[in-house]
Amino acid sequence: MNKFILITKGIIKENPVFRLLLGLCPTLAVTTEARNGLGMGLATAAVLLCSNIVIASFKNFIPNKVRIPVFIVVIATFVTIVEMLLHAYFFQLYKVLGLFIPLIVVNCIILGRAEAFASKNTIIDSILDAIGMGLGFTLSLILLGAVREILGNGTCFGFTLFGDGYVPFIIMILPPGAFIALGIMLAIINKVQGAHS
Amino acid sequence: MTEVLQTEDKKAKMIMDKESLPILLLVLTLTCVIGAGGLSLTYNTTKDTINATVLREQNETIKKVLPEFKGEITTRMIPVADQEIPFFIAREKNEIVGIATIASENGYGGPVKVMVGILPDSSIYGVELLQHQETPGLGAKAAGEDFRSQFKGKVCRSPNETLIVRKAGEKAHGPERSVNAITAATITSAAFTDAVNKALVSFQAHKEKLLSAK
Repeated sequence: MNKFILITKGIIKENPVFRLLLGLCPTLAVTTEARNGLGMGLATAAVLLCSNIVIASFKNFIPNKVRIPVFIVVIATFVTIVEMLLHAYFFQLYKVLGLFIPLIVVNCIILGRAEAFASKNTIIDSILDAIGMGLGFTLSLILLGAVREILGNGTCFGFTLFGDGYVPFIIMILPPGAFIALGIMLAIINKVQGAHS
Repeated sequence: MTEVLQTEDKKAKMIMDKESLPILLLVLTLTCVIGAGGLSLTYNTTKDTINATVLREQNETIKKVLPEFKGEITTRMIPVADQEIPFFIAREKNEIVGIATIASENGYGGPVKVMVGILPDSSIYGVELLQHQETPGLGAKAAGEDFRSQFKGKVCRSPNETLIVRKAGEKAHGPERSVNAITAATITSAAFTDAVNKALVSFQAHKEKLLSAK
């Protein structure tokens, strides 16, 4: 099998947010700005990569009956480590994401990939899968965050895009805006996908 | 074909053995022990950096709410009501430049936490919004310079002379006491102002002790 496809499938064909609809809680909660989406995406990707590596390495030693508890402990450990590292070395990002980092534990992408991929494939393939899924998740969060930030605040990554005359739709950076933006984007993506197949 | 079946059989046997209770317990225990080990290692390596970052951040904020000074900040914890409240005393050449303190009040989306810098003459020098979950675009404007700069120079000498929020069109309570609310965010404005009032009142109650502190 072409290894490259393991990476690209996470970005397009099996995009966790837009195609698999996994991990929507952090997706909806943190994407008030493109920058927050980037931070959350990278933090999740880091945890996903670590957990995939560990689970793929030890898959033969993990009894089937207790695999889920083992996966959860592994994931929770990495999430806490990432949280402490962010707190220590990326304080500005931590201030914004702090509340959502512990939520990565229950992000179903990570458990989903552990269960569906890492526990059945080699370490290399699992690494590629984690990179693909992590990139796909990060890009989706940036996209959603950028759309909401542009519409709701008139800025993108903190840069003002429009003149003073622009009146932002504040609702787009409020919780309902997350659902509206995601819904419309899903509709567009499904339409495009439908036209292709 | 038979070979495949045999290996399948072997695999099944191995799985059976792996699923026995002692193995399950062993695997779970090992996972938790290794996880805990990793955590304590990370905790120990990041602990000092985290504390330093938090302290540095706090000192930066203190410097923002007080006039420029070259000197030390000492912290005093004073019990007010049922809480210990920190007072940060900034000194230059043994003279007290100002005192910063923290207070919070419930706003629209949760607690609104502010830091207030007070000069020795009891007037406010600066206020900073430390923590909030107010509505972006409305209440979150309280973090902006426009709203916060109103507090500079305001004085509160007794608990019944606290600052009062004024909505557009309402009568002012005198320039010394009135704070203009943020449009469409009265609750946030009131919470912010009440938090500042709390800080002022607790400062007034312990003023002598704080200013004479060594």
